[in-house]
Amino acid sequence: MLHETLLFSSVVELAKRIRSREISPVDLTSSYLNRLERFGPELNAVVTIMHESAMDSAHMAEREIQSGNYRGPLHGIPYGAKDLLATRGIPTTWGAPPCKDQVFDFDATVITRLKSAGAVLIGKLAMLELAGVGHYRYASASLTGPGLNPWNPTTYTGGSSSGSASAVAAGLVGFSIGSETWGSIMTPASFCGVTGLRPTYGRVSRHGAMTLAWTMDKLGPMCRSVEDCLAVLNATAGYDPNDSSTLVEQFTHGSEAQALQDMRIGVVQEEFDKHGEREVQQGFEEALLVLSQAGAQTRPVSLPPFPYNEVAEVIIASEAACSFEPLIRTGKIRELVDTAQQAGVVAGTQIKAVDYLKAMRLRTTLKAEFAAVWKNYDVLVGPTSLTVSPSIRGPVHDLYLTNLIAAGNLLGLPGISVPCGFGKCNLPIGLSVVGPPLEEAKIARVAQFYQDATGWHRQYPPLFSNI
Amino acid sequence: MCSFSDFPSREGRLDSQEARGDQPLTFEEESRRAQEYLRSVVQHIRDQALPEGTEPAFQFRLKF
Repeated sequence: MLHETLLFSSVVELAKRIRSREISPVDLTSSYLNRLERFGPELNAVVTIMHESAMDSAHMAEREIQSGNYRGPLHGIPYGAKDLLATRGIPTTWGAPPCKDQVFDFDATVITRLKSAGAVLIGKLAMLELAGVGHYRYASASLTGPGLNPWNPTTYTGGSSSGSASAVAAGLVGFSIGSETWGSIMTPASFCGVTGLRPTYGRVSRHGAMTLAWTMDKLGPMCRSVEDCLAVLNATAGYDPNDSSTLVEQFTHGSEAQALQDMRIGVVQEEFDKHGEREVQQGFEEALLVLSQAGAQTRPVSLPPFPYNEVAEVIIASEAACSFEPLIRTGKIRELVDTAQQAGVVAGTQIKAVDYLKAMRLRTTLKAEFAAVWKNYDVLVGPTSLTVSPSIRGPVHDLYLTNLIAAGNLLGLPGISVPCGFGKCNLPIGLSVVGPPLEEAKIARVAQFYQDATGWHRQYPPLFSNI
Repeated sequence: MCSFSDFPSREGRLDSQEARGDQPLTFEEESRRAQEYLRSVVQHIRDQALPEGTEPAFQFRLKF
């Protein structure tokens, strides 16, 4: 087995060692599998471990690399996929009891693209049932139980990409794929102290992914560094005839670690007094200091007044009621773990078409208002969450989502959350950087500069990194 | 102050029931709450004014 410190390396660092044949994909895969098998069930982070197929893929990667056919930075890197991505012949449960025996006969486009890049799929990772669509009341709203945070297993990972976040944080995989409709990458990334990238809507194909809300679902990487997220996005982005939302624009990025002198950064004003914790505010203010000392122009900005939550609620509830209509019609929705989820999904069927259409029309007015914001700012920053992760023992339905997460999702804007210190109980906090559509490279530039300057992303949960 | 008195717990997985800190509501009660909530959300949407130029359109694209 490889030493555990190596397993907390970034993908980019691992790739260098694989390419130079210092480590082998077989040893790496075997070592991650060992940790995933040992800690994955303990953290409720994993649904299915793919030991045999993973080792086959690792052996193939090793043979290819030894014969001089190196495919790129993901070749031979073990990863986990949120269990809403179809994998041929392997159960894809959507984290939900009524779907626990669901098996597709094809791979999601993201899985296919990662396979082409040589990445090794070692497991399907846990998630909130149906990605938490119906307003779950408890962290336990999942087929696999509550997502336990590696930084303190009595606290919540956040959702819905719970296993994707905790598996990366605990060093059980090289990277993972999560999804976001309404904060499901950014929030668990913040709570678990990992780097999560929500790409522009349409950047990554959702073909083969569970549909929650067609006009809002995004897939994205969860990693241990910004560079890793870019490497995974590079392998997964691009037009797909099987997903009509996908964009034809190419994703490109260069060396993102540049100075920030010319960068105009809008600092989103959030209601810390009402919804936040003092320690998170303090951590965020220290992060701003790092950015301004690097030469960035940081100025406070208030987001356009807009009924963010209400518009999103109507759109998501309506689209989800339609996409999960078979579960509602057959009564299987009542098999969900969380009663609030059952009721919430069914309640979405009561929304009238006129109200859905009005919400969608309002959404277009927000797009116009943000066009004005982007004339004055290159990126926006804010705390990813105003609190650290809550206890798993109480209701978590009132978790507050920031306006930056709300606006980013309604408009399909790219966003990245990077660790920016610790709040109460030594739990991680996150810094969000959000940019205009298609500007993943720009937000990565700010995030990577911050990451390199502070090194918070190199802090690992003591319970899982000193064993 | 840190409020997690039983940290750390790594003795196997917590099941759903154990993780619940309180008594779940019935489906009927949750339904009543969910519908009430959505009604208030929808009302908020109905109260908004809509400018011109936001009409939905169907984009017919044969190929990219």
